[in-house]
Amino acid sequence: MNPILVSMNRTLKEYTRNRMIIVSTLAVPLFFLILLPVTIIDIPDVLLPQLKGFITLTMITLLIMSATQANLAGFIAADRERGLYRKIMSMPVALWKECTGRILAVGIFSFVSMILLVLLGLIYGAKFDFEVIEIIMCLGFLLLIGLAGVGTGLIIASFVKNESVATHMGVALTLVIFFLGGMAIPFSDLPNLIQLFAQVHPVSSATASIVYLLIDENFVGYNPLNIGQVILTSLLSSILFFIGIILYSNYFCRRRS
Amino acid sequence: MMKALRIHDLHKKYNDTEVLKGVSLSVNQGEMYALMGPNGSGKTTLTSIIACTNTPTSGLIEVFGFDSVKDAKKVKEVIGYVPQEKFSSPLMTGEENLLYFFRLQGMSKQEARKMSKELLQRMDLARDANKRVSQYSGGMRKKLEVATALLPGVRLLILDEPTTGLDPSTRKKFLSKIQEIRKEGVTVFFVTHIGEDAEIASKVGLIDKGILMIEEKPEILRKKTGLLHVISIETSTKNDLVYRTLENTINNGKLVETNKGYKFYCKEPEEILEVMIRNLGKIGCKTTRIETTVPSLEDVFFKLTEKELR
Repeated sequence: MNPILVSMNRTLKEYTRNRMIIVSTLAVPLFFLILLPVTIIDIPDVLLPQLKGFITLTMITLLIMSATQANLAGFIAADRERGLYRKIMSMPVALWKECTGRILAVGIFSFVSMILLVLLGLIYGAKFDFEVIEIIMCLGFLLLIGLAGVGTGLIIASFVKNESVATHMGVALTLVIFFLGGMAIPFSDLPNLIQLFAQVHPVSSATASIVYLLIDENFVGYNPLNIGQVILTSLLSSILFFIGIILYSNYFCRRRS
Repeated sequence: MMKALRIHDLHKKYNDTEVLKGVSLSVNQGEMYALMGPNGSGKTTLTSIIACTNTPTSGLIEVFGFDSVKDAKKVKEVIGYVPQEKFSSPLMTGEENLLYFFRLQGMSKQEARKMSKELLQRMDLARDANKRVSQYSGGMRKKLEVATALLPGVRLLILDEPTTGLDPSTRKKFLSKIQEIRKEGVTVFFVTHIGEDAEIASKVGLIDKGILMIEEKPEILRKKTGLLHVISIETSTKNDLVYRTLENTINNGKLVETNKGYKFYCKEPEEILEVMIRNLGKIGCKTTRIETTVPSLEDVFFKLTEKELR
């Protein structure tokens, strides 16, 4: 079997057997998805399905960020702490394949969890307006969120050696992006500087694009689908991803010299 | 005889700190080599270089004739490395862990299953194969981790502090497994700071401050250092007066302070013991424990460096 698939298989086992990962990645977004619409009381009934749709989408972003920035970083740090990388480096195995397997596993885990969230959202009354082409575009934006998240997770794991510190740092960063990125607080209520952050950060701008496509532009507060914004989001996601990969290669794939 | 491992004038520097200062050693095929040294002596750095996870600053290192720097890929095919840390996944079963390592190296599912079953049997872990590693004891986990390094084709097993954290009886059982592996023709290179563990080796190397001071068979090491008996003494107080009193009693031979008391080496302990306790009593110092033993390899190291391994 290809080492990429072997590594992917192992990571999936670890992710699905680790209660902390299940709780932080899946249970927390599910909890908020159920709780948040109930807590908002001054919204007209006609807007409620759209609001539930909006919350479903932002919870998907929260899920992807938790899986990549927090749990991937913590998972790698834990493996480094327990000497797994030293063991693998002594074996005739290409470390990049091992890393690719990890990333693919996180992708699959996030995708399956996302489907669960969407199904629950729909059962709960979430409403999405879309055409097929928009779904394809949304998948593209989800990929960008994933790339940025994986990149950030790898950057954290490259610098932080301790599992707990890496995970907490990832969680903290996830919350910062979530609250300042127009996902928890409406974009129009954010201060100008924070609005700029929300438009520039690839995770928040990609989320805004998905909301714009599937819900309504009123839930976004700006047009994230202008060509300049899309290019910026794609570019920054890719840059974060490649910085993560380069740092990971430097810290893990090379023999110390 | 073919050399399983040949190291010549190996140096390793981290910035301005030289961790290994011209280490040279060789291990014959089928031999069991124990490298002993205190923390910070360079043992783990040397082991990581042999295991291809680190590179030397200069010097030569060959494993079964392959240069560990230039032919790292070939070296990796003949070595099995078990780092000091517990690297197996606690969330996976023993068998799943083995399958992961074997298949990562390109084994088919069938081959890997067959191999893992064999190895679990060999390591007395067959009954616990389907238990998660989090339920394993320290000794079981270490045996499992050794099994990850015993793929077909592995000719040199490298163990970094394999018995650290194991209780004495588990340690003995674990070491007997390692001896079995050696009998099957695998060369073993292991690092330890426990003298008793090193006794099973056919050759022992003592390393301190990045310098390999001596390497010999355990019994020859003892002879070379001229050690016959060790007297360890623990007293109610430890001060200059106690030290001087003991020093005056032993006449010849060197007295060394240890963590718990004092230690010295002599030829005829019976003559000294009584006098020693009497003299200590005269200065009001109570002897809480006194013991005469045959020198261990830790004593050999102590005699050479005046440093304790643990």
